[in-house]
Amino acid sequence: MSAAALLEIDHLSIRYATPRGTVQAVRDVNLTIRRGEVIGLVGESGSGKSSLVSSMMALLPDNAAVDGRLRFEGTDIVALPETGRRQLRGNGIAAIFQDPFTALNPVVTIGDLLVAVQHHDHGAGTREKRRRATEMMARVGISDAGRRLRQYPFELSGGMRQRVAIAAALLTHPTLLIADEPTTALDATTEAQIIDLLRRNRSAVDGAIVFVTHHLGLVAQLCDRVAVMYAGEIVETGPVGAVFANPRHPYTRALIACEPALIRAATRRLPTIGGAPPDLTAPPAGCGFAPRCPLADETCRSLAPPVVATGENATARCHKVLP
Amino acid sequence: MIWYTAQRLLWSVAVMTITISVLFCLIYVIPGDPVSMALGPRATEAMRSELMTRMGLDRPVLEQLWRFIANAFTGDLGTDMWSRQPISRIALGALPHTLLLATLGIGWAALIGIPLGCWTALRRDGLADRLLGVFSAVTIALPSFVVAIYGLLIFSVQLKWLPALGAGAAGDIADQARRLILPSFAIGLGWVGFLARMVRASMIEVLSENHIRMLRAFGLRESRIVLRYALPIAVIPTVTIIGMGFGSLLSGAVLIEIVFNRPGIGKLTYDAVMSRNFPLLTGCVLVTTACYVLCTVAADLMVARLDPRIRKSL
Ligand SMILES: Nc1ncnc2c1ncn2[C@@H]1O[C@H](COP(=O)(O)OP(=O)(O)O)[C@@H](O)[C@H]1O
Ligand SMILES: [Mg+2]
Repeated sequence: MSAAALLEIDHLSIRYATPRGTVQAVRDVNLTIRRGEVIGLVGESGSGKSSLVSSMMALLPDNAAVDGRLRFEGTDIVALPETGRRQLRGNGIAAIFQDPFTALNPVVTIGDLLVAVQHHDHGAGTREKRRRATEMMARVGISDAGRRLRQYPFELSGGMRQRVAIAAALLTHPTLLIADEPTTALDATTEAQIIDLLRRNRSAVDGAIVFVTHHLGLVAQLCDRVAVMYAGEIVETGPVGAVFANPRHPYTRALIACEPALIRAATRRLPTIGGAPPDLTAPPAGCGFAPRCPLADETCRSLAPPVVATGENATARCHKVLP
Repeated sequence: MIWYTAQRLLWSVAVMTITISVLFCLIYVIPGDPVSMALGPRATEAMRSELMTRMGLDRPVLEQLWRFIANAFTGDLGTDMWSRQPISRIALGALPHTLLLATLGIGWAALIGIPLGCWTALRRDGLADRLLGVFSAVTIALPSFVVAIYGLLIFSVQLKWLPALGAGAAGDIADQARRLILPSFAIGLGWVGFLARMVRASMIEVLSENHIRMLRAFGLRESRIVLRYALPIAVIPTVTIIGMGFGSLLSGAVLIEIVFNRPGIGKLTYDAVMSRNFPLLTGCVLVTTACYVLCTVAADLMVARLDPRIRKSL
């Protein structure tokens, strides 16, 4: 594979054991993430985005079983024992989570938290780590850092807390930064500020950023490449410009049609995709999108679709790839 | 925090005032007036009215109530008719025995129960967890005086490892300590399983929270996550329960004190009831209530120390 590959995901499947049966949350995903790129992972809620990125940080819940390979800088995370995985978390791989209101420990101060996340760095003392934290606070747009460091999370607004979470992630100098819907819990203004902050700090991440969202507009603002997930599968990948201008998978096309920020023609009604995604405890033999797809025929319903190369670094998983 | 402390103390004063007033009313409800109780049936009318005046019982009720409250707060609970000693001195003399017993009883239970709760939360459905389930079900249901009696039978009567009754010779610390072993074991046994189950439940809940996942995503060691970031949150409900449990043990230790024939505020209360010594009983109830209220306040303050959300919102 190419030397620039940072993370190679190879036939990855994730299954959850539940009382209702086995949920096949991620099915046979192949994806290569290269250094220097920001990749957007989009899909409806329940499509397996969080599961996929959790496996990238080796942080799946106990009831999950993983098949396939996940090579981060050459090391297979899936095969690594827990101690080895812990060495990667916060030390190469860092994460920002969806809900800033619950993501910060309520009983430690912001300062103590920002010092604690640097624990892999044995070379620096607490004083030095605190100095770095102060510096990082300014970089993520928090003024009056000295006072803020002494405060507790509940004293900060949601946007502030998400800035703290970003500061925590950046303090570990990640080569892979994973942001799982970092703005979903925030209001629109704060969301714009956080997106702006991430964009300005792109270069601080000397590797790649995986940006998870169910909001296509944000992908257009922030990402170089996009991967579209549907029912646990990646149905389309490609450069953001090409995919948005000319989606090749009917699902991507439907998603773009539903995105208010991307609607060009005047309309009074926000379109939605009819129907619901398949039950992941018993995924269909054919294409998962077929029951909702206007182009679907008998082949689509009975046969798993092939992965078709649609351009350079671009694929679509479909029997009826659009022209 | 200072304001909060002041507020809680003010609250305790209010609770105590109400308690004292209720006790005052009870004196009127109890059959037989205090004077005939004290002087006996053969007292003359002159003796009665002389004592009435001396005790202030000829004054208006509200004035009596006010004086009763003021006296209680200044530590004057009256004089015991039989021993001619201040009731406060009798009650406060018995209190340390019970305080020590309750502290040791709950102390060893907390020292074992809290780590056990953490351990079983981490090794859920493991062998230790299953054993704890059975152990706590049995010991919580078992009354502590039953444990006490069997403890006596086994360790004192059969094996003769431990002395049986009393608090030990005054000044002989080793003897007193040996005599505390069985009673505090009996008191604490049910608490071990109870505290462990409680800590286990809240630990499991806390460990599933987002902020713990965030710390794991930064590769912090699991033991550090549990001790530094989860335990301070998980013990908060336990602290409140321990405070209340400790407070109620002060009177609740009575059965243990009877079984082991130990001095203590519970035993004193019991004796006061049996001898129908109502002034002494009133004094005992006041002292126990005061301790109970102080324990809950201490627990509240401790919770505020542990939880910045409470501390800072004050
Ligand atoms: N711990 C879990 N146990 C069982 N099922 C889960 C668990 N986590 C996620 N799932 C299921 O896996 C599927 C994918 O979920 P998720 O990865 O969270 O998707 P997304 O982030 O795109 O919303 C959903 O059907 C969800 O219900
Ligand atoms: Mg998600």
